[in-house]
Amino acid sequence: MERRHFLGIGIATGFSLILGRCVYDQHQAFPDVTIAQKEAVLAACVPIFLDGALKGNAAQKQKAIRRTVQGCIAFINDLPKGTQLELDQLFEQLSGQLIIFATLGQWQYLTHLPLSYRAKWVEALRHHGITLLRQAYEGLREMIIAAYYVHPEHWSALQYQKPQLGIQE
Amino acid sequence: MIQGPINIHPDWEHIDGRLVFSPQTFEADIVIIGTGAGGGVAAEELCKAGLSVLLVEMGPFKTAKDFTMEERTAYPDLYQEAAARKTKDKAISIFQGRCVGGSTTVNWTTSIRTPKPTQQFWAERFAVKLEGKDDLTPYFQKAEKRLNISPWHVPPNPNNAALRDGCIKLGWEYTVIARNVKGCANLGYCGMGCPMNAKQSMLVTTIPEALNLGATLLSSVYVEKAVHQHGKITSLTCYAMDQNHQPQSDIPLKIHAKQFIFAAGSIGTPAIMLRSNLPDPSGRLGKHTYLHPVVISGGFMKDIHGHSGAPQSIYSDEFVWKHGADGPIGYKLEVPPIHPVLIGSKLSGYGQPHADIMHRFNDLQIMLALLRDGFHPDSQGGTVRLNDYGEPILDYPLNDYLWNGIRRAFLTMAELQFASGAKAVFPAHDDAKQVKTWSAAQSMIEDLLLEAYRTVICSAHVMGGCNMGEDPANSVVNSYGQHHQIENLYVFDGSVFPTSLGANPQLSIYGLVYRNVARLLAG
Repeated sequence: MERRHFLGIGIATGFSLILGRCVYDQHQAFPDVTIAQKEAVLAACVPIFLDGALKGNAAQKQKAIRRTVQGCIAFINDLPKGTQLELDQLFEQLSGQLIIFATLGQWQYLTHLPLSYRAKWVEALRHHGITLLRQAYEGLREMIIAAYYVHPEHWSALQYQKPQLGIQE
Repeated sequence: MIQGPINIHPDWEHIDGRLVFSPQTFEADIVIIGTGAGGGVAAEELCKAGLSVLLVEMGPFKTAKDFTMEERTAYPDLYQEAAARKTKDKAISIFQGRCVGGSTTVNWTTSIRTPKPTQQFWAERFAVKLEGKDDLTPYFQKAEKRLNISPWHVPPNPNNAALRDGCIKLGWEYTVIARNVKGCANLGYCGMGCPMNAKQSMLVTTIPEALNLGATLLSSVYVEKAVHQHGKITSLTCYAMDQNHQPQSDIPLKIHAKQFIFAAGSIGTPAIMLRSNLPDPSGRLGKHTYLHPVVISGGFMKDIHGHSGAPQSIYSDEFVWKHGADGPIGYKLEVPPIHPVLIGSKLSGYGQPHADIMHRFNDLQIMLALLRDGFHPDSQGGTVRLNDYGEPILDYPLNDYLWNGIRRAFLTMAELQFASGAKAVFPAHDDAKQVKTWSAAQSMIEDLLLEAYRTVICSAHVMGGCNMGEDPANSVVNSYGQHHQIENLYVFDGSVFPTSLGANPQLSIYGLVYRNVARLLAG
């Protein structure tokens, strides 16, 4: 086993204890994570999860990313308080450097990582042995994919459209 | 031209909790919490008997004019937790309605009587009364007549036809599904609320009739707890909800009544009881909660267009009871409607491979296997608990008994899809590849590491948690839904089922509640 990999596992185990305590300790107050921080994290993740789905020129892709991020934020506001707390704790971690160190072995912010490293990071979450990181991957994946495909603007690639009804009032 | 939607009638006594800004008090003969299959049937029957009825619904009162056939409005408006409810470990997604009409507003119309082996199991293990005068048959017939339930003889859409054709080729049993529809245009958007009131849900049948007969409906109102003393409930403490579906603790609503019916579903009903500290000598309150865990298999066939046409019109029970009720877990085969969010979020993976699948959206054929849980000692379901906000969380453990069934179900679905002409098949599992032959599918599925998160699991049928039975030592309510310790409390929803059903639940709830409300009225 490479020394760096071994070191990562040790650090990740410690990290999981920190994150695990946060996620399941609901007595604590909501963490101080701003909407702007959540948006930044989501904006960093969206291009990875939607690679191949995002179409058009750079401006069109940016517009779709913004719309997807806004969809995620709106979705979170409709969730029960306990779930919102869990997600806020997750976003607090994703806004910091520790989670990147635990998964990629680098002290960096997710939002500062180049695209290729963010892709490696998502793969690291996906296959991680720590349950909470797998949960983070699944949570981000489902939320982002749902927030993207919910928009009729993104249906043409699927050749999907809803029926047009002639409703008599 | 399609007949227009029925709007909320101005003469109805309806109070929208989102528009309540000060504390209020209400009184009625009977309060019903929940407006789904159980609450709806009970409301109509009790109003017809001349009782004053007050219905309390956590979700909003939406009608056909609100049903835009778009997931972006349907899920946040009509589903618990915007259709993103999960078990405690986040391994299972749970779809449940949260709106007037409950899950009947958003279900896929499949109507199946409680299977005989399930009834036998309940009678043998829990002494549930289902024979003689307690036979459910006349009550199923009553529900079928009231809700226009009959087999759907319109040709199935290609997604359902694939299930039927595969069964024919393999010599497996299949059945044409009975649906609760009237004037259905075969659109395929039942899960987002029927835009033309064709689905005979509680929203367009029993609830309007109860309101016509003088019932009062409180929508967007959260029931926190029941106040009880000396073995009787005296009142409910509730809160008005805000626009984001959050209870507002500064706007309490008090409800007094003589009788109380809990019909808030298999997570909601135990949650209210737990928040109320109701007696639980059997220790089964909130426990033995079942899900019919669902696993998914995707396939590619030409021109499926699975978003169009009745979502479910064929099922197969070939594998439900094959090994007996309490043998290795059995599973029912069905298909879902195929809409972008519902399916996109439930297929594994992301990025280019996921986009490649989505770009073949109209060629996607999706098969479901619903596992029949609760009949075996190693299948005792989950437990509803409360978090620090009093919100219910379902802890549903996954074990080898279930994984064994999931592997068999993946194999069965792949075999069926290839038999019906699939060019490629891929189980919804993180490690699964698209394979082009049945033998390749066999070897891949045999090697899959089956565990939480790698395997996509969902549920649309939550059952149990307040199980019925005649012995208070192993049940929460009796055979007629009456609480063993609280004499003026009845539970009229799927939470009373002692196991899962092995069938989609709405008709089982209708039949049981028709019988039990008649018993309540008879005194």
